Amino acid sequence: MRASPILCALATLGIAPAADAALKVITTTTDLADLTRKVGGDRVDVEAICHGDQDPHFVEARPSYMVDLSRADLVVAVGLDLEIGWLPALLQGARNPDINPGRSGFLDASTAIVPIEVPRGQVDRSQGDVHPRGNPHYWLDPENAMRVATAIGDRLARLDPEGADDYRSRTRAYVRRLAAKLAGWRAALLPLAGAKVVSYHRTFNYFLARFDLHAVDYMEPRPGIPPSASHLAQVIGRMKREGVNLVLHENFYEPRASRMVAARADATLVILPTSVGGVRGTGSYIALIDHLVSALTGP
Amino acid sequence: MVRMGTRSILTTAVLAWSEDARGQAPVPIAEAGVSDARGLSNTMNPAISLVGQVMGSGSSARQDPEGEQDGLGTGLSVPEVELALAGIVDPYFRADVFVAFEDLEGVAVEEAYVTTLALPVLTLRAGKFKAVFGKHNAWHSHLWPFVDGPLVHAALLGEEGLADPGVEAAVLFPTPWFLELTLEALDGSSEKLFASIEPFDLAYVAHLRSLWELGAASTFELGGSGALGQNFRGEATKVAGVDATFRWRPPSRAVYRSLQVQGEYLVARDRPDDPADMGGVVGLVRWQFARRWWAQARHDFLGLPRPSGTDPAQRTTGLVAFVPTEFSVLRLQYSFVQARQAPDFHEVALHLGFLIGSHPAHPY
Repeated sequence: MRASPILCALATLGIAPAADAALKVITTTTDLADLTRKVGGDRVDVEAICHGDQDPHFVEARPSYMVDLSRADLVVAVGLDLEIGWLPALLQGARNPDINPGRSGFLDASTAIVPIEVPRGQVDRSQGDVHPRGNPHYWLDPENAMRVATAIGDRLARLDPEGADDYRSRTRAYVRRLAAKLAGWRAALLPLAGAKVVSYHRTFNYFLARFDLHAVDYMEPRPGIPPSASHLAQVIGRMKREGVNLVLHENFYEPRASRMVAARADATLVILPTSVGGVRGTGSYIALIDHLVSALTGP
Repeated sequence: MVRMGTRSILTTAVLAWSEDARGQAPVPIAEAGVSDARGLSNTMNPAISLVGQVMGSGSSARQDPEGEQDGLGTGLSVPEVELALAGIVDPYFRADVFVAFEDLEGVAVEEAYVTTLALPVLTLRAGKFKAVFGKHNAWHSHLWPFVDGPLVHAALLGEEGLADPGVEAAVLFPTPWFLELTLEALDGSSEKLFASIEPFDLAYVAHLRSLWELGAASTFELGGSGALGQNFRGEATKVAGVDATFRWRPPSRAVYRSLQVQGEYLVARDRPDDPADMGGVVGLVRWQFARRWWAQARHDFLGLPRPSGTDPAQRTTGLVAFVPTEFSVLRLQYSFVQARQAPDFHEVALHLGFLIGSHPAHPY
């Protein structure tokens, strides 16, 4: 929870902001929160648990989050086991039966998209921290954002039928806007089409797939395992052989390994946010993708 | 003779029904697979996890082959293997069962309880569970910040802590900050504390927990606990506790850095083996200085207050932990122990913890 001291003080005095909102929505990530605000407008009061510059795998299940969840009408989660380390404990402690998984007050946004990198065959932890149901970082593909926004709009309409028309028209308008922006982003990234990159973790793969870039290797030898010197040497070798000259790095990991690899392989290092609010100037989903696109095409 | 579990009784009943319905559309049971038709399905299996501990320890304490050993002892051991099964019973309940195999010998059901799923504001639990008294008592041993538990808890609550069959209600107050009251009624059976001679005497535990966010990176928590119950001498034993915890973890570097400072104070009155007041304190610091590395320190002081004529017991502990992933941890711990009725001693332990199976969240 972004704990603004002023808000906390006001809350303690019993003064609640946005008191005329019809629905109180808690999302796990800031990206889901922005999509919910866009389709919900004034009828929703939205907050996100995970900060924009925080790795959503490793949020702590702070009891204070249970307080907000206890008052929520709707919880929107990324799913695909991204929040499995912390959200179930929070939902249980919130003691709010309406937001339990399976109820209409719980929306797993991954049901709106088709996951990539679903492992085939037997999966175990020798492969690292694999997500057995697919790569969960799907929100960075604008087409998935459209699907998720539509799913959120539908769910808001179901929970608040009085506002259904409002939600539907806002969803349509936002999806149209995203579609128009997507055309612009495609055009901007066309010069990079087919380019090979490396990244720290598999966070950008949906974004890369949408714009025809390809991650060929990662600093992590396996998901969740920090880089080792021998693995990084292999990555550098591969970058040189395959002509990879772009290193993407998520801003919540320490950049030392990526910096070293970029220097040795004579590549450009781009440190990127992965969520809304990850850096200044990414206060909305569209601003986030704008930022990613301009960081990749920049000087 | 076929043993009929509940599931196979239901399936047989459905099969019988479907045969009566011969001539109508085929029943889809057989399509689900041969095993399903025999009433054997894995689909609703509980989540299973297994936590193990392996330890090598060395102690300069004199080893008494007859009596109880002080501290961790010397040798290689498997202190505990714990099997946890958890599952959803139905829309109303969840069940959790923890079976511990201690030192490869004893089997103990550490906890076995159902928890309500669908109540607002309130969670009810029934079964055997570790009482929510302070912080340490409710933790399973693989969650302990150190290889062993605090001196004061073992002295006042027993080696197994306060854990009995009972019922519990935990209320989340509608306050802007986290405030939770837990009330428990237990059927006390611990000689150390509550083992009443009267059949209907229960022990009662209350715990109030308050947690404040101090910003995006820090929280501060304060708790107060009380326990009251009849002991086997027919008197009421009372235990009170206070705990405080400060936690810091910067969101943008959450996997690399964190700090935890925690203290607990417990005091007991009218204990079954000694009516004089006895209390103690434990304070610990956990500092994560790299993605996989922790440095920790702890001090125990038992004897605050203490029965006259007895010495306090103290222990100072240092620990370094390497945590390759969330599923394994290697710890090197050193303690200097000033025991009550024994000479001072040193002990060292190298301890490995591992987990396989479904991954439960750590309590905050």
